[in-house]
Amino acid sequence: MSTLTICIVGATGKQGRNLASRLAGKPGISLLLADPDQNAIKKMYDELSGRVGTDGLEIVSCAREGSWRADVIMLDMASDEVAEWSKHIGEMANQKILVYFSNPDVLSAVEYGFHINPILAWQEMFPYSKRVRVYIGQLLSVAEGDDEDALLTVKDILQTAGFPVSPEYSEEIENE
Amino acid sequence: MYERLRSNIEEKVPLTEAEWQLCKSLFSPKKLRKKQYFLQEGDVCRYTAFIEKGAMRSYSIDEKGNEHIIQFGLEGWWITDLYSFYTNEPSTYTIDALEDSEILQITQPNYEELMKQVPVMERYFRILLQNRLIAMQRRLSGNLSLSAEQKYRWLLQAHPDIFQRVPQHMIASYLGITKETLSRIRGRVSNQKP
Repeated sequence: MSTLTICIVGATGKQGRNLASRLAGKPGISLLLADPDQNAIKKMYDELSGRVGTDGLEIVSCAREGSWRADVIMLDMASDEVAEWSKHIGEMANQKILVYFSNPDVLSAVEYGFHINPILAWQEMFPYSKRVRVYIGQLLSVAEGDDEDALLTVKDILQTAGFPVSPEYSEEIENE
Repeated sequence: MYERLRSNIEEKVPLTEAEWQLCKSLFSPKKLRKKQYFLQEGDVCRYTAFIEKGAMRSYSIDEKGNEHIIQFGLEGWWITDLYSFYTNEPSTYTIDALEDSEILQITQPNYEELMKQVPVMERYFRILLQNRLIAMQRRLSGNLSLSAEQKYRWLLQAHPDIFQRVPQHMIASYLGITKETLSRIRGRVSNQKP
């Protein structure tokens, strides 16, 4: 099977770190870690590589480079930073799977997350990407997006990371 | 990043700015490290790729583990497994990067969409397929009727740049000869030079 290259931009953030930690060393996944905080990312890389080795694990010098090399781009950053980041990586995300996170922990926070990251804004910033919105909760995770193949890929990634994915829960959120 | 693709298309068919923007939006830019796979045998070939920068090859591996190179790809060339790309059947080929490479890849649905939205692209891809067919026909008849030295001379004349960038054993594999035979031919040919 081909290797899936995933670039986590903002890898030292809560969700980025969580996913990187669970995906590092998994077969068929190559992880590219990008973060503006070079010290923090180096420390995180040392921790991960000490645990799983360096195969399929790499720090990239910038998010643009990582996004260029990736099949899947995951953005863990504050919503007010996304517009600026999109200028650097927008073109590299063309036709690629772009994962962004809604605020985890509680359901109400998901809605808050959606409010401050309206879908339309993501469409404008990454018009040609296959956008998938992910919520990772305590018990289960939700992935939502328009592109079915992209959605399946992201659900596979979440399951590989050990996050159970519930489409039913997703529908419940939609219906609320 | 898209300059070479644009000029490659416009050498064959005219494009308006709007058509180009639409075309560009359907491609995905990808950087490959040397030796990184674009396609592995057994996987379905989801993309066809235009090489903006770098060098690639497609090959099959026989039961004894020997590689047989089907195609090289340099800047401005397209590379894919056409059979797998069009049929969604698992590929019998592997495609990887011989150098750090930059490619623009397009999926089959986007490829179809592009031809639907920009009809002139249908002509562009027809020209590409036509050229590919001619090249394959020549390669086939060359393999059947030319001597090893004639094949070598043909490749040297048609694509001298390949010799600068591709290891000798891969050229031998492409020509269907051993690297020892290739080495002897090279010696002979270079001795014949004025």
